[in-house]
Amino acid sequence: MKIIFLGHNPLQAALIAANLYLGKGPTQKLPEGLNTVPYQDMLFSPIYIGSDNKGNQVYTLGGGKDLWMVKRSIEDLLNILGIEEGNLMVAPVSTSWDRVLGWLSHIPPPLGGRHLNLLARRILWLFQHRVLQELVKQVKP
Amino acid sequence: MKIIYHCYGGSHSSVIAAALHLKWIDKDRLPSEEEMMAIPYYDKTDNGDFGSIRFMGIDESGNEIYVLGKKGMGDKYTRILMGVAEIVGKADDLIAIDCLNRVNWSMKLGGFLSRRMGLIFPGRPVLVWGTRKAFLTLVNLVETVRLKSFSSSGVNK
Repeated sequence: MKIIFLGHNPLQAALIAANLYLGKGPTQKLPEGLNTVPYQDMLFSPIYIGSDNKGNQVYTLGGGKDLWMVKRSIEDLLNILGIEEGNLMVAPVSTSWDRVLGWLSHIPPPLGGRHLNLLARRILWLFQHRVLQELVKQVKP
Repeated sequence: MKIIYHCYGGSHSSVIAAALHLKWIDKDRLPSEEEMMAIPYYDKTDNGDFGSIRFMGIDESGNEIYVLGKKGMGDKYTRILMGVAEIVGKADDLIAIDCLNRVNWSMKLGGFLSRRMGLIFPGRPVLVWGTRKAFLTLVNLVETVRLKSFSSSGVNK
């Protein structure tokens, strides 16, 4: 089975959730080899993060603003491609903290956007990974 | 093979493209408003349809044609659909085409007034005018897709 953690961005909450699911702890660390892949190439394509002890393959995917729309499209796509239910599971990962980070990312760099974003990430990290742990507990393939 | 035409609401450019692909409308002349309104889903969807992949028909080569509304996500949605098809080993069975880049301002304005605001008048006349203006670029897009589907399915090999 394949499990896709679907976040607004594949390298933020979705990646932490995937690592939590794989028992690697709340980290945004990418598998080796992916660090050299350009950031733009990783957006909006499934990224393989690893496999669990049952052989389930775990991916993250960035779906933009409307995760439920993307989830519905993926489910419809699997249906028309003749993929049986149970071969792929989509787990939307969205926390209210994503929205805060999204707003901060729109602040222009001359106004301190980059530094504010980094500071906010560190503070929100403490809250976000607990919320994600609860979300990941609900993922049972 | 499955071919998905996608645009903002899945009710205008993608539907016209699918209808052209299925030869429901003549590619050699501009369609009338009545012909466009007779196409399933043309200017008939609502907000609940975003993300749904809707079946339109089967072309003469046996390809299944679908339409989809994906809001303003542009070609990123092609990457999502093709990426998912790839991890399930079905990338060769799918073509996803973004029609949003063929949409002109008249179509955007008319579609917004008609679908989002519920103003059939003046939305629909503006939309129909815009669709007729964009018609040839949609014909061009569909012809490219048809060639791609032929070569992918081995018809030209």
